[in-house]
Amino acid sequence: MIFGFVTKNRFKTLNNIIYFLLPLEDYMKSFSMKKKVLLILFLLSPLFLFSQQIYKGEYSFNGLSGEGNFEFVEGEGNKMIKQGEFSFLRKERDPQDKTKFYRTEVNGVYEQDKKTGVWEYQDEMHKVTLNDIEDFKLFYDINSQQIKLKANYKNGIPDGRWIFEENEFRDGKLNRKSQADDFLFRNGSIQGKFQYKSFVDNKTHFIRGELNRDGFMNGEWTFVYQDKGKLISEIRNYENGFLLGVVKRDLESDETLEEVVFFQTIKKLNLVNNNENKGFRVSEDKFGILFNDGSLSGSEQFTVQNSGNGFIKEFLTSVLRYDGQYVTQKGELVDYPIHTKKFVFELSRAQQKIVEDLPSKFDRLQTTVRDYSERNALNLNRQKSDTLSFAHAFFQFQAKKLLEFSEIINLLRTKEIQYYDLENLSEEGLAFLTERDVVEFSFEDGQYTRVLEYEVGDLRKSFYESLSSYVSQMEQKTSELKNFVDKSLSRIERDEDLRAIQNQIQTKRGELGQKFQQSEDYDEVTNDLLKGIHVNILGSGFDKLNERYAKEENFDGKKEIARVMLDLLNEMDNQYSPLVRVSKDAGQLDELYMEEVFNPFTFTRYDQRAKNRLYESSEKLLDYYLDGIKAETEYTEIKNWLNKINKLFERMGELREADTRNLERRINRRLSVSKIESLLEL
Amino acid sequence: MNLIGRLGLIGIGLFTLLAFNPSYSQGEIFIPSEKINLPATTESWNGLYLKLRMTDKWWWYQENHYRRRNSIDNRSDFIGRMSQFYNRFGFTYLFTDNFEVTFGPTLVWNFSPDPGNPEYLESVLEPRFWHQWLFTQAVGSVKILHQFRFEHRFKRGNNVGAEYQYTDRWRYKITAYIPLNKPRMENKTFFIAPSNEFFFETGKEVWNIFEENRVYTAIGYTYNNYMFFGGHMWTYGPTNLPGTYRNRHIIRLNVMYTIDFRQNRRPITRDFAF
Repeated sequence: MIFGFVTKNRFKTLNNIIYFLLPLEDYMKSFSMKKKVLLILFLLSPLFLFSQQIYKGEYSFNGLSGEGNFEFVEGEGNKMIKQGEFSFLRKERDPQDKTKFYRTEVNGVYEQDKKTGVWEYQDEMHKVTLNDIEDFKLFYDINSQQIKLKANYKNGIPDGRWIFEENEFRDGKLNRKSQADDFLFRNGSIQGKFQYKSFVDNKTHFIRGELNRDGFMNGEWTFVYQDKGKLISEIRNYENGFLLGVVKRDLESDETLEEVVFFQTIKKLNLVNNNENKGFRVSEDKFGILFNDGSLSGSEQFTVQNSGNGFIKEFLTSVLRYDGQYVTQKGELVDYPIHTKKFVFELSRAQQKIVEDLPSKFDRLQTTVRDYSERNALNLNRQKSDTLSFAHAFFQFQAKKLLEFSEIINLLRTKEIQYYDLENLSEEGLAFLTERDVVEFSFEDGQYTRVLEYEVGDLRKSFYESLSSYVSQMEQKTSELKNFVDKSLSRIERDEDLRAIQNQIQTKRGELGQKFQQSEDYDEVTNDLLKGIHVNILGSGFDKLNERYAKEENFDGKKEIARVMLDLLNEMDNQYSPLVRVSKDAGQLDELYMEEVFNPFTFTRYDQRAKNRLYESSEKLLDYYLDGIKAETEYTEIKNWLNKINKLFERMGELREADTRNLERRINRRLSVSKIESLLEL
Repeated sequence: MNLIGRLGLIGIGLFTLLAFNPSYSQGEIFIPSEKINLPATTESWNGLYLKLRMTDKWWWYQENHYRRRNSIDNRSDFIGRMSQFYNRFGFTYLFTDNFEVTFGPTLVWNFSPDPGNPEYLESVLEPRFWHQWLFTQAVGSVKILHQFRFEHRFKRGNNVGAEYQYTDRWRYKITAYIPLNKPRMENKTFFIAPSNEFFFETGKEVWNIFEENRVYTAIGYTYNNYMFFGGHMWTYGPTNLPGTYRNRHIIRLNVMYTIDFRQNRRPITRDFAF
């Protein structure tokens, strides 16, 4: 590093450099103008080099905070341009889990802020478990994951040999977890033979295949991996980036699980090879590892690739985690060094126009449907008439249906549709382009249905036109019902107070609907309580009030019912925290009624239930109260049940320390709830 | 070397001394040319064990056994004749969770080997004074108990007019408690407990200091203050006839109960409040 040497030893600041250049001024006077300019440029060129500086201190590398030590020059606007050797060290303790430690070490060289030459990365995660301290000696276990990567770059792009290994340290031994030996990058794409192995539960999972000079998957690729408890062997056949077939077998039973041949692709390739292709050609672009010749995400040709591609992605994400152009700081793989190819299809002017226009037409329709499906006044007043109830159900139905269109509309929006063989798409069919939709709705105590009919064009002959026509039909039906709803609700919505209450009710109901959803964060007891209230109070209890509200013609009467509905929602909101605390408090009571005992026969100490009869009686009461909450339909009663539970916990807290021998003698398993309540003085 | 290791060595030394010291053997005894093993007999022992905690260190210890043995004419009926009514009492001092000492009296009623035969008394009392040194150790999830028990016995046969003789009995038992459904021995634990116990006896009238070996395999369950414990025991040892050995198959069923009479039991969570 000659530049580094000059920088470090002679010229630390720009002032020094100017001072160094001053004596040259007289000498320059003897040159012609052109020569002078050249000479000045020549003499000034080292300025960039001389201005090279060293940074040592806090630094963020790829979103990781640590200490950086590197050489740089200042660019425009004092921008730091890394130039020369670079090293980075991160030592971090997990802020949430204090037993986890991270260490990342990076060494390499930058040229004009771009990685170049050999780079070495080492990333470690250590999980420490403290077991015991005996005679002031700490006994602990370390479980660590380590990734080592040796990479080569040219001009900031992966280029040259790369070596990857992943290790695991467990039970005092360092074991290899996965490895990829010596794979070759050229200009950002992997070339030649490729092999990645990963070692899971004494079994070797691997990916083996070949990439041609441009980084396209070629020839036979083999994947062996675990999926849904089975050891799978997946063989794929590629021809210059085109996937021709996939076979998956269960390695243990040798049963063939899936076999997909891409006949349409083979047919089109043959046409291209014989120069007989009409209306399509091979695209010159490079695509990611998912090969797609015109299938939507639910199709067999799409899903058959998912697990194998997941395995490659796992590897690529580990290898390229330090290169932002491939993997984001959140760990998402956004670009691939392994490629597939696609065909590109010609579109007529009329088709191009549909591709341009249809997404915005669809967006308008989706906005209308969403607005009306979430419209408070419609939701609350739907029981006013059967048509309003149908309109409400229609917008809900339509909102779901439009979601199914999203994938195809996005293909139009991003113009990716040009890579889709519409013949394939038409053959698979678009399930959401239905001829009949049946909308179910309820009015008063009855359940009703209405049928909506659509004309589905010939997708094979006129795909774009048929799709566009279908969306237009949906738009028309939506518009008709929208007008009806507007007319029906206009009077109600003119009342400011009522509209405000309606909005409050809907917002609150939406929030509570989310809040009272069962969650993995809660145990079974809490989830059962939430479910009970969700169904009985926020569901049927609220709906009954809602029905009364919709049918009430008098505005004052309507407002009164609306206030009761709001009170129900506010009350449930207030009771939410006490409800989710019940299980935790019951756990604490359980702990309180445990005591450490010494078993003189086995000579062991352990926790054992204290005052068993008393505790069992409290369990019986608690179960009764919890069942009461789950079955309760009157919202004002929830608070009363919770008060009973709290009183029980308080009383049991008092009784823990009290002499309860008399009480315990009077308690038996056959006692009724009211008798237990009386004995416990509740 | 730890205390248990040292005591183990002392035990082995004691055994060697007793086994090979001629002063403990008897003079004019006929020794048959071949060892005779009598056919196996059967017995059934049912026992209640109590350990009552009086203070942090002191416990009351009690065992009551009701033991029967097979009929004279049927060696395999387990319960044909009354055998013993066996009562052991004592005070236990718990030094640590791993070491305790117990001492006290034992009162055993030995019943006639031939009920109804006027040559035998129906039952005779055998009083003893006993003390026991019990060490425990944990090996992973398994609990090992080393029990050294010493009994000073005043015993006599049931023959009418037989005289009391004084003997000393030296016992060592090793027991393992192996939990089956829990990671360690705790409440509601099913366990298996193999044990082996060696009995030695010394005294003026004793001609063979080796008295018996008992191999016992039990299964048990801990439930709150109770422990239920039962299984099969096989014993092997010499009889009063020189060179003649007996062996027994014994079915044992025991219930252990403990209660803590201290008034100062505290919950483990003290800073608890709703």
